[in-house]
Amino acid sequence: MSDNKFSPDWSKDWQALQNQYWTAWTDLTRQSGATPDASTPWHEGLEQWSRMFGNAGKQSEAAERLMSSAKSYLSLMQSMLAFASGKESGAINMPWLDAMRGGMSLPGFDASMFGKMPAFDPSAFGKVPGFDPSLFGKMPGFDPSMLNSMPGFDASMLDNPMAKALREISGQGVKGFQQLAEGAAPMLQQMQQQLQQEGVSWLKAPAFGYLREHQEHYQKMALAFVEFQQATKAYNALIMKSSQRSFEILELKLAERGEPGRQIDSVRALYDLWVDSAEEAYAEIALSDEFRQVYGDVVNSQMRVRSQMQQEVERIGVDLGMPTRTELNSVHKRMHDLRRELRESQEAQRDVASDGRDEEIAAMRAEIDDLRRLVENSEASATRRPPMAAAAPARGVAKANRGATAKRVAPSKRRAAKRTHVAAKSTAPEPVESLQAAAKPDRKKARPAHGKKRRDARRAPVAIRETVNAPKAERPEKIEDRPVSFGDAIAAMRRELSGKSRKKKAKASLLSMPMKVSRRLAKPRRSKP
Amino acid sequence: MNPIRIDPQRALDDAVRFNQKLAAGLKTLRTLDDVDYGATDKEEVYREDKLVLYRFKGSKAPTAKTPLLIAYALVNRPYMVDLQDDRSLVKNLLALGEDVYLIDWGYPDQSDRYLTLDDYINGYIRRCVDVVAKRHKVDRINLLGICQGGAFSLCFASIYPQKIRNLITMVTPVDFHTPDNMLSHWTRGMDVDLFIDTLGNVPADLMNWCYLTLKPVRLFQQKYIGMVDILDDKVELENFLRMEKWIFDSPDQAGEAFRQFVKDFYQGNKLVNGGLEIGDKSVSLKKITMPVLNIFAEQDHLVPPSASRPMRKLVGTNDYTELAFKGGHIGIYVSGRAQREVPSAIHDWLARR
Repeated sequence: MSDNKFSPDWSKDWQALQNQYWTAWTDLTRQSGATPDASTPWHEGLEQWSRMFGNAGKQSEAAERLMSSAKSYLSLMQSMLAFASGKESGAINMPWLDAMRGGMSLPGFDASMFGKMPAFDPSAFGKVPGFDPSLFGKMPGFDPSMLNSMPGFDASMLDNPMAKALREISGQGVKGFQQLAEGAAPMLQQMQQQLQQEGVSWLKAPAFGYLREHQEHYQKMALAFVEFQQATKAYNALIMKSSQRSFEILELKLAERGEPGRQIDSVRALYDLWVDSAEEAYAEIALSDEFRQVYGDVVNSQMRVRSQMQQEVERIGVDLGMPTRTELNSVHKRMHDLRRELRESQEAQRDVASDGRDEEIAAMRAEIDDLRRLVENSEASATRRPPMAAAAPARGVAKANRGATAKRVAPSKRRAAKRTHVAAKSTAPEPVESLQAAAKPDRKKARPAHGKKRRDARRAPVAIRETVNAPKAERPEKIEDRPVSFGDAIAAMRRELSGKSRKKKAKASLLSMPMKVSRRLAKPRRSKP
Repeated sequence: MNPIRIDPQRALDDAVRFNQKLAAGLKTLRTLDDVDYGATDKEEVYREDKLVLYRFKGSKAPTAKTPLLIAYALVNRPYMVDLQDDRSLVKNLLALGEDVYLIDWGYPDQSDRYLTLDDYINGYIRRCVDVVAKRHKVDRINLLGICQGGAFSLCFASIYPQKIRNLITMVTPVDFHTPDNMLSHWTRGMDVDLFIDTLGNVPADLMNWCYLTLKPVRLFQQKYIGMVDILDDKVELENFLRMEKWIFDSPDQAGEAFRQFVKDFYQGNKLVNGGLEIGDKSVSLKKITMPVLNIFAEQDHLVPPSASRPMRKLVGTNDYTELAFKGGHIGIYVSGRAQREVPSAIHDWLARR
């Protein structure tokens, strides 16, 4: 409350409210002992509470995340209560906002979380029998204290506020960086000290002597770590920038809420507004080219650190006669290759057994389905044609039908299928648009016939004309009833679609009719003088 | 006028109520068992390595003649499509008469690190499609690909168009280089070869971490503040925890497949630019000539609509339908609106074909 109408004497009221809170808290938790001092941060109550409830059973992780978020939120509530009761009044930019900056900073991204890979625990170095991290300092020419003098190397980054906030929020399920930092601390400290003394140039100095291979490896590892630290620093700088930007956006959003009716009237509403602002600010940064570069650097540099550490573990494993990751990978690769070969071999055998017929038949059936669909589409368009145009091509039906019958018996099914398969291959990628265009009724062709053709059409029985113009959706069933091979069916439908003249098209369309209808169509022609 | 007008007594009441909810909730949390998931009976019909192909059993016999196979993403568990009784895409599809199958990829371990996209698409998916087709004595089946599974389904339908009657994609990215795609933006600075050579398989926790950092404040903090509101409602709390389980119950990613997916899809954007090869087979979306239904979520922060919409111009079919769902990447399966709109949209679209 900025105008203090709630609390002319803010100090007294605020104290009273704090006392109310802790009284309610004490009642709630039924804790023994005195009520905490009014100025005690509220989230400390949650700390006690967490300990009191202990493990929340099987949902402990959810409870932990919940408590972490609740602590931040309660801090905000407490600071807002102070503000609302008049302790802090005035402009937007006031102590509560600073408190919010401190308590509600963007959790963002802790780049070092890449170190949380399961089973990755640098402290394992110290647990490997025979491995002594202090050996780093015993290598000829190696002084780990040099690390601290490395440009960009900042040990404090291991305890940056973002990482701290994140650890508090993330809960058990995403711990790991802490382990990385703690586990590697002795080794890193030595490196830092050495680098402080001798600088980065030492890491690029040639190695020699009995332990040159080891020295070279440690130099690479130290250099990789320094690069990782530099990348992390750049990353966290961007996150910090994002966090600052989030409050700029929040202030802008708040400025828009000055009108009556739009004011923020609850802590929750303020919190939600801050979340919106924080996400907006984060997205601005995260989608920038600079962020992409820095993100890539963090990931890549940490992978180099991990890779170097893995190599060290491998060397130790070899020395101790233990199987290594490289060896296991090699076995897995061979197993994988064998598994693939086995499957390919089994499938090839199955194909040989079926002589490829199954696949060929499947391909032909699929082709028929496609053609049916196209025919249906084209016939749907054709139903819009004038009846006369469709009835006109009744001539020559018997001839076309004879041709189809002859084809049915001539080639073997196998040969027909092969021929169709080749045809299908050549037409399969044909764009649907072009096929549809082919199926569209030609306006010119759709015009009523004239002269003799028109008379013929008039003479054709009404029933037949209706059949010709019947909705073609029912045609597939009729085709299925006919005892023709797949090859014949495909060829017939293909002719229907690609017929160059109206006459041919009519023949082809009649091919797919039942035999009885075809014969009836043929009769008028024979009886004509 | 000051934009903040908070009544001190109300602020105090809110704080006390917040604490009361926490107290009640923490007690409830201690009494809850592990949440279960999966509402619909299913039978295993095929198994290979860690993959299991399931057929769901509805309360009535399916009426659809062509079975529907769901190919989920590798990055999460597929039970999202059948999370609980009142949030189940599968259950609703079965009720509408569809015959639904689902590929469960399992949890890859280090022995699977050399699985490639060739193994997943030309191997696993192809064999699953063949198994389903054979069981139903059909040559072609309907394929529903979700998210990354949608990208796989596009590849599959392009390579084997003769095996797919209708293709449905849900929240499927096609153009990976749109300016609002944060995930893709980040991956383009990564040395994915170094990444996989170092890690082998990509740990699930790392993947989850990456997803959470797309919306860090909302997903790390605000979500759990919101959880307090439902802490005294056992049913709602169980729903929340079920979602939590799904979100964090993630398989590791087989290294080689991840490498290729990042290189070809995220970095190379080859579904748009062309040149994508899965094993020895080339992929071109122009070869997808069967009917396509593309469903995407308008508020999807993982697969922005702008990443999915370009499918329209890239596929070869002229029977393309698009459905924009008002919700997010997860809401498209589990929200109340999704239960009403998505299954019926899929069923109606299929019924017309």
